[in-house]
Amino acid sequence: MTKNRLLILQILPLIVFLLIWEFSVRYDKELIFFFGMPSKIFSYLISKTCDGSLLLDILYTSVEAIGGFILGNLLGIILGLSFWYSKTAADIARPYIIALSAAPVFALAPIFIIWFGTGILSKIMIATFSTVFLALFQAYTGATQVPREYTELMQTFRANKNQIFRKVITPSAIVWVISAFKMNVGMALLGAFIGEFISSERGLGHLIMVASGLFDISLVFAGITCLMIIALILTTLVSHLEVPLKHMVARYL
Amino acid sequence: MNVISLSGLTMSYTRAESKTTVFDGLDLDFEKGSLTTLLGPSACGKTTLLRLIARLDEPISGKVIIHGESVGYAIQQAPMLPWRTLGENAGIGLEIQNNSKESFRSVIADYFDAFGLANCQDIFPDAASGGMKQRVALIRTLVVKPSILLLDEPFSNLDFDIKLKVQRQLIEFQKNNNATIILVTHDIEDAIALSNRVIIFSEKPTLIKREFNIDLGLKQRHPVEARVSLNFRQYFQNIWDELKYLDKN
Repeated sequence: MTKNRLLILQILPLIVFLLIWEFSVRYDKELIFFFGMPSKIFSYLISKTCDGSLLLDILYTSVEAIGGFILGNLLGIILGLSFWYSKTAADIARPYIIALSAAPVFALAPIFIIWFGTGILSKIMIATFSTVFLALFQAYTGATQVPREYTELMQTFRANKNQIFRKVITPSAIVWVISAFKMNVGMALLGAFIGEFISSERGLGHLIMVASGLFDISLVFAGITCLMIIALILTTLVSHLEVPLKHMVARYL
Repeated sequence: MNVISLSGLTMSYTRAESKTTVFDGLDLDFEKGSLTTLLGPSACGKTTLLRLIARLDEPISGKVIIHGESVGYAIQQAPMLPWRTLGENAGIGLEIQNNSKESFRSVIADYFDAFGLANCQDIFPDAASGGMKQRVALIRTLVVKPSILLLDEPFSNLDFDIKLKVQRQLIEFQKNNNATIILVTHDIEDAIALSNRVIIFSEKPTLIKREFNIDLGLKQRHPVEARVSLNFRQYFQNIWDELKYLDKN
């Protein structure tokens, strides 16, 4: 199947769905109140884009999610490698990390707001918290599960321990973290959204919270649409990062 | 002059709670500039011997004495680091040895051309065939110019024409560097065509069953000319006589 034909076939169900939605609620005010209406969602998207407020909200949420994503993954790699380096530290930290990673972000988010304020920083921190554990688990697994042939290969060249750490252990950890990017970018977005939903002045979470407070379902859906589009773009973006990042790993390590 | 001396080598390992003795007091020497092929039944300890010489394993008793600066070992599995391209994989030995990240691309490129891998430097291992990886593994070992070269089944995944090309390069390498090569293979023809000495191992505990000095009467070793030379069949017959018991079942 050609790419264009696939694209048309992918969009077709969405259009059908929107049309059915539109015409089943259009002539009943009560139904519009409960379910929103695609044309109204669309007009919100246009008007809020034109006055610039929607773009600003999108920018806030994206920056928070991307910032948290980068920080969380970096922190995860550093922690994962440290735990590889000291098995004792890993054994001591294990129960705490499992407990922390199981704690719902929603419950911890208010604490982050108190610590880091209602601005952008607290959301970045929440997004970081949402992403760090998956990255940490990946990095630790990547570092500890290095195939024996790789280290033996290094030994045949008389590599010292530092060289093995730099050229095999670290890249392996990073590659494992990269392979979880797609899943983790969703976690970052969720973290940013939760932070905004609880307390914020801007962002899509803020938009949705305000809209739902006003029972404006169409505006809520407009916000959700933007969130989904960001998720789609970010996921595509990180899936294209894999090869260039591998090149960077090979070049600098 | 012997560059590798093995004396009283004893090695065993425990697998699934049963102890297997691989070597029990093996003595073996390798002369400078020689190419020795180790032939023998599967799992008779050929790879173990290479690992001992490369010092990846320590013998239980006995000595491995090496008079030479550098040992290069091309592991049979030809492991490739998946985040590195083939070219970057081939250069890792140079990076380690020089402790530097400078690009060895042009050095590697010459080798890639000679081994029939032109324009393959930027391929990632997961997109490369077994034969390509095997050649890259060989290049990776050769490019650091070791004076002792241990090769474990380096031709097993290569098509015939590529194999001849690689073998010509290997002969060239040995001539230019006066390297001592130990080759492990199952292929009797490769053994005769390349080596000046063929050692046939027995089953475990492994002993030297027989040794052949190969002289095909060629001015210069050549993988194709060797195969069509007059004495080739006779050597094959003699070696096969020692190994044909393996063909029983």
